[in-house]
Amino acid sequence: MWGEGRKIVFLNLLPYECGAAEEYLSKMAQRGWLLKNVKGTFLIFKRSEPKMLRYSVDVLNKISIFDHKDSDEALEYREYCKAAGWNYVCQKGKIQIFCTEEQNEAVSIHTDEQEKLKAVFKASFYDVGMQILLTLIFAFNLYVSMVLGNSRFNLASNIGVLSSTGMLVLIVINIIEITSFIIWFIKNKIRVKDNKLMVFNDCKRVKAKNIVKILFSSIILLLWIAILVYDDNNGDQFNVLMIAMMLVLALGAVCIQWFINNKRYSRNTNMGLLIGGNIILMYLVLSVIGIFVFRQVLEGNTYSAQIKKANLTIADFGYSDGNNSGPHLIFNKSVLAQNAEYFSDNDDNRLSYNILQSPYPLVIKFYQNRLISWHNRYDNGLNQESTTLPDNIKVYRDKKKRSYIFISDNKVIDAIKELKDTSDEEFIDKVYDKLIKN
Amino acid sequence: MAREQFQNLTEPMYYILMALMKERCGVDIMEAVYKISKGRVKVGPGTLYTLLDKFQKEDMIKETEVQGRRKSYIITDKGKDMLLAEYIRLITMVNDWEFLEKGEN
Repeated sequence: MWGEGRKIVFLNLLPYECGAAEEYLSKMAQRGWLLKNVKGTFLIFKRSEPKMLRYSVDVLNKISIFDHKDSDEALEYREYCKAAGWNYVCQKGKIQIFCTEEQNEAVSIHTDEQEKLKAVFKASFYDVGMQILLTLIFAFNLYVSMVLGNSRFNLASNIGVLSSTGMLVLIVINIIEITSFIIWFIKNKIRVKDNKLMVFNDCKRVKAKNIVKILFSSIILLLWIAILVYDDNNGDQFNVLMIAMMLVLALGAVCIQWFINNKRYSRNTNMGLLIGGNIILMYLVLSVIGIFVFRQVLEGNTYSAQIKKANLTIADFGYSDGNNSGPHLIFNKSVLAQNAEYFSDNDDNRLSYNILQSPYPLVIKFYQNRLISWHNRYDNGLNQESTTLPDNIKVYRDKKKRSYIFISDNKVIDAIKELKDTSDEEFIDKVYDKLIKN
Repeated sequence: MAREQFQNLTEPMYYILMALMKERCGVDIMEAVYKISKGRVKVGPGTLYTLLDKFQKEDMIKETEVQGRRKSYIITDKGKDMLLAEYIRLITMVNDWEFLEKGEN
């Protein structure tokens, strides 16, 4: 990003990539761009005369992520570095950035590679630990929805498709980064043991990784906004509310950090402010969304985009419909598939079904497998039945003749039949006629 | 565990402890190490800061004075014992070498 005499570059500074950052900052200084500040994952440069500068991107483990900027410990440390010829530039959490004129020949900030390795490892542990935690949360989430669950939401809702794809890609990126950190640590542990200098990923590699990350984040963010703006599954009001709440969360988090940096409270107070502030913010946002959804349900609002006339209803089997609002389907659509849900009951009889329709055979195959394994896990198990339907229609049924799955080339229907006076054959034929054939 | 960490002092540790035989503020230690080692050993500020913190936690040095952000330290008896132990270890190694050389001649 360019401005007048100012340049903003995306570079996520990680302690174990400090060597690459040093190389990059020196190259920028040679081109006349001097680092002025770091804001999150963005480096802010200012135009100046080209200079031969040596940078040191250093970690100070004595300070905590809950400390405000320029804590006493950080200021004390900077005095040590200043005495050794290093000028302080800026900080990002535990990372402290210094520079010195190339001709000064200042002694390196770390002269003991063993201590440096320990410091970098300790400082990286927080970032890598967070990556491990996120990977586990995402993997658990995907496992619950895609493996334990029937994956319907992940396929038939754009938000579901985007979240699942996003989580999957993030898991892959995180695993690559965690592995890269482990390899870096083992390699350097051996080098330090052999009295050799530590090595870091080179600047080009780190920049390439950052480009992939920023591209991926931008695509996800744009798609997310596009879904909220154009997807009418949830209604316009809900989408506007979601965008507003996301902005409130982001602004709130920035305000809390700004407050912490400007009020020089103790580490514990800052910890309370940061954790407590974000919890309160999250609680408020969830409450607003909850109240909105609750009011919509109370007022019986269903968005027109979600309602379609049901082709097959309980009345088709000769029973009265218990639905006051009349027979309808709740409808959801994504770029991969669309899903329609029907439910109706009267005193003794009940009929419900879901139709997942997709033009992609892979989606049908995936959903079919998930659905059958879901039924086998929670029901009595389904068996494929021989029927009089065409060969490309597969029908699965449980022993009680209650749960049914119909699979065609582009549809998977999951139905529950609790209709006393309807035979198995009649039910199968009607489902085929009304839901599959047309 | 902590003892094991300082069982053998590294070169920077050894020189920092030597520099602290006399009360010195953190920043002056770097210069003192340089002078004691006649310019051979240079301790970077990051290494010094980390080691001072560790020495203090292990009671090998103690803080004597705080003036603004300038803190002064001096070696403790425990620190002296460890420095002496390292000195004896190094002398033993030198003697062993001399013994080997004499034996070969």
